[in-house]
Amino acid sequence: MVARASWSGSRSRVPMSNERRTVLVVDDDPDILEIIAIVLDLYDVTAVTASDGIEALAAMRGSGELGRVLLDLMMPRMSGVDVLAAMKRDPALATLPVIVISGNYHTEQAVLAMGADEYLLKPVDVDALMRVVSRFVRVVGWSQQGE
Amino acid sequence: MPKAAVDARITVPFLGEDCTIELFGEPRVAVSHAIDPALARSPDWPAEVRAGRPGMYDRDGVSQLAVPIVINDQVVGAVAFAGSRSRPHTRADLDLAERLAHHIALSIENAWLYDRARRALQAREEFLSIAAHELRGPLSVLNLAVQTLKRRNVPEPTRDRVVALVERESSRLTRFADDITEITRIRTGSLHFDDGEVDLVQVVRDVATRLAPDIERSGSMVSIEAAHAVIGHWDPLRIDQVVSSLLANALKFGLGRPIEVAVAAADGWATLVVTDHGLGVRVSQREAIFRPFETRGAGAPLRRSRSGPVHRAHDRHPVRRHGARGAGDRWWLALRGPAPAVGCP
Repeated sequence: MVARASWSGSRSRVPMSNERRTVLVVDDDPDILEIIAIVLDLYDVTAVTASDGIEALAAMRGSGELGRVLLDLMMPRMSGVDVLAAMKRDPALATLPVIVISGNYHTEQAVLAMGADEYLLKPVDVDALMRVVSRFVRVVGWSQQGE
Repeated sequence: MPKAAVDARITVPFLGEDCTIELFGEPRVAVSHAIDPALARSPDWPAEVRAGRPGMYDRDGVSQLAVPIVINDQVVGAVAFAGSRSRPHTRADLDLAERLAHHIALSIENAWLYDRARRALQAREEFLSIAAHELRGPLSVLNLAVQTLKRRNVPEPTRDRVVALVERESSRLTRFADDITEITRIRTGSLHFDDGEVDLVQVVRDVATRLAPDIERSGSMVSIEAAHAVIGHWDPLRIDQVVSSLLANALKFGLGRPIEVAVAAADGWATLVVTDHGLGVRVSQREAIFRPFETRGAGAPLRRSRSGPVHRAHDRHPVRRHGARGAGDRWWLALRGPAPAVGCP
């Protein structure tokens, strides 16, 4: 299921498409999706979530607002590696920045060689997450030195 | 058997004009060396040798020596020497051949033990790698959650959601630790069963109630079909574990589609069938899925599931006692309890 994160409280207006402050978060673990969406929302970044590779590609092709993709590797139906390969084959998606977030340190070099822009090893922390997100998406309230 | 090949070579022509060392079983494993390979023949192993007794006998006018290779009181193979017409074998030759067979047995046993140790180490490394990987997900959530809670300006509803996440992940890690302990017990054969009267239908309902949040999140509709209570004499904890595992995996791989759980009793058997309509298990994986840490999932072949890897070990071992098989998207568990027989009130 593709879902938009929606939280009561300080949810800001969805930004204009040319600002690209929407991030697609892809992971088969719903709790990881939820916490990352919460963290991004605190920095005024909108999260769109997908729980496997097929949903992720559908979300990418259906949206012109994505500024970044946070991608898990091990997922059912279609792995993160297959998603990355599909993105690089599609001219419409090939330049979309991808951050791989994985619990497997063996795959870092391979996915970077496939064209991923960054690799984060789980467990991630807020600073590491926002550092990589902020490279391509404007975030509010976070700086390189932290809060 | 490279060392055995050396043994065969150095004994020729001392103990005979050709030597064959063979391990019984399928596939046939044998090495031989002969002064004249053209004249070499595969030995016909006499029954006495297969029974564990050495023997000297004659074949076509040529004396033959045959001694068994014995490991842990099991005859695993034999060594044969073909003599020459000019020099028949003696009792001393037989004694020497028996000592040689003993050394060959030691070599083979050492090789087996080394292979077993290597595979055990490999399995342990694999287990540690998978366990570490499985821990990283919950730790990520907890890490991000705690850092979020430390902020001052987090809205109250958001804070409540984060606290709920922390509680969920704590439970998940506790279950994981319990599963690790269970796996150790399974592998050391010290898993304990505490049988009692169990209503399988009630177990299924209790599990469904406990997994209600997961059911809601999955989007699947879970239906339980049971005409009446199904009561037997089983270990309630183990039955609960298996039912939980089967339902949790159906939720994970069911793609939000309906899940049917059917419980019935007939002919002294209780059956539980869990059917989902999501990702199927490839035919090639249907046996592998029951090995520890195996799981289905097209994109994550055989190594990961949120709840699956450790629970699959449960599926295999306690269910081994009761009996279960998978058939694509349908998993069934058949239970037969000792007296009192399966029945319903």
